[in-house]
Amino acid sequence: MSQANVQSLAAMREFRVRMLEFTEAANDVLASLQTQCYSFLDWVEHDRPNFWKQYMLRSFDYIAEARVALEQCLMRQVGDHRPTCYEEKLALQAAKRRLEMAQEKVEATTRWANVVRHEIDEHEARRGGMQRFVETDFARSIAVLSRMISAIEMYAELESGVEDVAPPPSAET
Amino acid sequence: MRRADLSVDATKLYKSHVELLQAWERTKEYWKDDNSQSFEDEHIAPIGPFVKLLLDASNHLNEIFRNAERDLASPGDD
Repeated sequence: MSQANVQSLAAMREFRVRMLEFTEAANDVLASLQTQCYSFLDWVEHDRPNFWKQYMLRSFDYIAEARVALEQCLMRQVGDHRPTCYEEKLALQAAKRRLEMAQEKVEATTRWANVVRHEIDEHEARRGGMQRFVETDFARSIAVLSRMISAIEMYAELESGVEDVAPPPSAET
Repeated sequence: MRRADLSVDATKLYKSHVELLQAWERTKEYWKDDNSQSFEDEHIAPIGPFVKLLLDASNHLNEIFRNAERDLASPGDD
């Protein structure tokens, strides 16, 4: 068994505090990541499909309105003068483009929902791995350090009560 | 404002890990023995791969979120 060399019990205590702080920060991050992932998934799977389907339905209405407006314009012939109805034609084209975009977005929401769910599952595997590590392995590491500190403290009390001491050889179990 | 920005959490985890490693380096200046080295090998070093895996996964997912949000945003949203 090698001779221990602990010059500062305070340094070990301080590091145990840093380990606890890391645990707290990691747990905050892990919880926040999970919340954000499922919030985003909800947006992609529910909010977006609803929005773009409604947008598509309104686009049909706009097209119908634009067609009516164009027909009314074309009927406004005065004498030999035929109105160009340029603005009404543009409005109908814009309404059709709006519908095309809405239909593409409805399809895109389905694609993205599949992609996002798959990627979140992949991420969850990593996040879960880290979570288990923090809760088990790292918690055990903190416990190991705590036992070492306790052993040294007991040894120090037995010796002289001073901090700078050599710990017992079997400080870590 | 983005709906989800994982980079904030990723940065926080990265910084926390760096701070932990820096704290360990300071601790080692006062704790120099075989127990110290084995504690590093068994309890400090294993953290790194878990952190790296999660950071890589989070950065990748963040990019997915960014693209999805851009593609599915309501008209007029920035």
